[in-house]
Amino acid sequence: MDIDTDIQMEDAIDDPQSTTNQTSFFNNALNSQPPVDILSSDVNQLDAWIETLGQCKPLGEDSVKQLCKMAIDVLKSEDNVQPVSVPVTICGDVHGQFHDLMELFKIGGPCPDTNYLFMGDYVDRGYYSVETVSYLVAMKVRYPKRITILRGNHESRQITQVYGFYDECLRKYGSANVWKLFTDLFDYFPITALVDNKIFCLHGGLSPMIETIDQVRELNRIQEVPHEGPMCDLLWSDPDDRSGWGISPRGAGFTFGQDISEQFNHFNDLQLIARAHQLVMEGYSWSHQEQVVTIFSAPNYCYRCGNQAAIMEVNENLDREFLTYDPSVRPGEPTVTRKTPDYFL
Amino acid sequence: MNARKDKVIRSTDVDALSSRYFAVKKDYIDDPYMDIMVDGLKELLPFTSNINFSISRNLKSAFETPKLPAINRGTYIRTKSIDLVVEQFLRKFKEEPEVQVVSIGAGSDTRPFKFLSLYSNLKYFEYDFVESVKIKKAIILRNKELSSIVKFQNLNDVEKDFSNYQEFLRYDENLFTPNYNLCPIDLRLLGDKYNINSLQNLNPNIPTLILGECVLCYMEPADANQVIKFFHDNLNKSSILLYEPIGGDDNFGNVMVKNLSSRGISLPNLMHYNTLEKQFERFTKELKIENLQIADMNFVLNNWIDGDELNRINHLEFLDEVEEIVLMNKHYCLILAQWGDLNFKPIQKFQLVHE
Repeated sequence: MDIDTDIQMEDAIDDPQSTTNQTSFFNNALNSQPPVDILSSDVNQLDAWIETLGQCKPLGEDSVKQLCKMAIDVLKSEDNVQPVSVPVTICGDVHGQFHDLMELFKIGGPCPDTNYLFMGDYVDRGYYSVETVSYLVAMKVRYPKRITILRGNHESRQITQVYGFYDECLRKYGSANVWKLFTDLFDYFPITALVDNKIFCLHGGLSPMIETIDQVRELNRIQEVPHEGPMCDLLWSDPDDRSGWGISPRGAGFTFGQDISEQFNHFNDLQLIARAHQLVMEGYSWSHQEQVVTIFSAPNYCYRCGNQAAIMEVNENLDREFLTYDPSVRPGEPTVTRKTPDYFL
Repeated sequence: MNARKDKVIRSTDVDALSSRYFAVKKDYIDDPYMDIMVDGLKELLPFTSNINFSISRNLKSAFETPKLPAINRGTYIRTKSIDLVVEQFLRKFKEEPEVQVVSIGAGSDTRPFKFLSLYSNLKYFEYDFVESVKIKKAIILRNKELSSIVKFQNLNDVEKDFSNYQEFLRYDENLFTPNYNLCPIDLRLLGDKYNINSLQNLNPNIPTLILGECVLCYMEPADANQVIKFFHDNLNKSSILLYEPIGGDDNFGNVMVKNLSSRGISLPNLMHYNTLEKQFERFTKELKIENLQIADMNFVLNNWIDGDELNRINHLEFLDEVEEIVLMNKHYCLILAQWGDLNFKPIQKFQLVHE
């Protein structure tokens, strides 16, 4: 599937500022397309789903199927570099920690009153990947202009089979159908976002094959996350203290030094690269002399790491403020049935 | 002693064994005796209790749910680093008539079989709870290869082991062979109920390496120190190698205490000796053992494993948990202490060294 035949979303059109620097042919072509409207029957359906999911109850398989179909219609028309306007609250990995996601919305303000940009990794590791990704996708379809959901390296068929989402779907639905529906949907998630043309947001980091943001726009993203190449790098790379490009200990993507970040930000007239992907104990962490920020939004990651979580608020003047939070208290949750995380014993 | 608590501590052996089992399956480590041990444990462990439903269920899940790559890597460095120290110890003393390894809280460790096949002057001692010891004895005696490695000579005259709880209770718990001594010792009673003579066949005057992998951490600090002190007081040229969790000064240790307490496991030492420095002072100041080396497992991984081997394990499986591995390895350490005229100097570097 080729994205340039698709219809542009309302949110980009509402915000002329966010597209002014985009001169490539297909962005201009896209902007001339009429916006998608949500039918009011769909709104009622979505609100009902959101209410169910808000109580951490999974949807039925048929509803997931409907939801994913609606989500594809919304997401396929988004850009590889999805324009996002300010103010917006930027969030990192969530990893199936549903109750902590609810805490995030408490800390950051409810959606749609607050605009959100999530930088991927909704599934795997936590116990509620199904509820978490269903909730975020339902919110995306319900409020497409208010919430942006990027793809993380865990939004992939291969990784979810190792790190829990596949098993959770089998456990909760008795078959892999829901896993298939979601992983097929993940192919449509945008891979980067550009906040007010100044903050470049993505899950992982830079790629030696990408020098300009326009090069990201030219990628065909509608596919499984490849093992190598620019799309893989954007979802897998990490900033590093060493300069230049380095081999990543993760076995995919690269490490990139301050020189690379400076050059990329300068060349693309950016203030900042905001990314997620790495556990940071304080919830956020600056690198490369504030050229790059890492945001991680899963507190006590894997119920074991003891870290804080953070989100980054960006206001109309592009001022940034970090809000940090600890794991939510989970009243009534049956903790005894949860498997204790592994340790070396 | 609290029987339920002891049972929970014994259950950590299943964690350790299943971690090694999956590290072997993924080719991180090589262990020809693993399947014998796992099959034996699966078969025999349910007989150690008159209510065996939950044991069988937990065992099944432990050996059916593969470990995540971070756990496999951590298990690799734990197993590999201890092997490296043991190997050097045995190599250093290979010309001696006899050398001893004493494994405290040995559980289902297969290390005795590996090293007894390699070093003919080695006497291996394994101490653990009586239930663990009975299971291990039965596994060894049911298997020709293991029986032969431990030089068990009356294979035709093996007593019947057990196939129910009553038989398990009646089963004799000691196994003494020319090179292997397996017996039940409650480590908390060393120096109290047991003196050095109770540790049958142990020679206090020859080079001895004591191994403790996640054992002392389950005891009260005073009990744990008493164990070390007992060996220090009674063995004349000896070294102790401990692999222990340390709580750290971040939130990791508190979460670990909380998580494991939900399984009924308490870790009284974790926050008491929560840093390398505190462990260091424990030995030099509290126990007065001066010759001491300590390193956390990140240091060990980065300094003990050569490039080719590191490259090999890095390519065994795809791994997304890079920061978690670093975080976990930071909260586990190796402690090597020695006394008497031993002069054991492993080539591996440690972080904190005191002589």
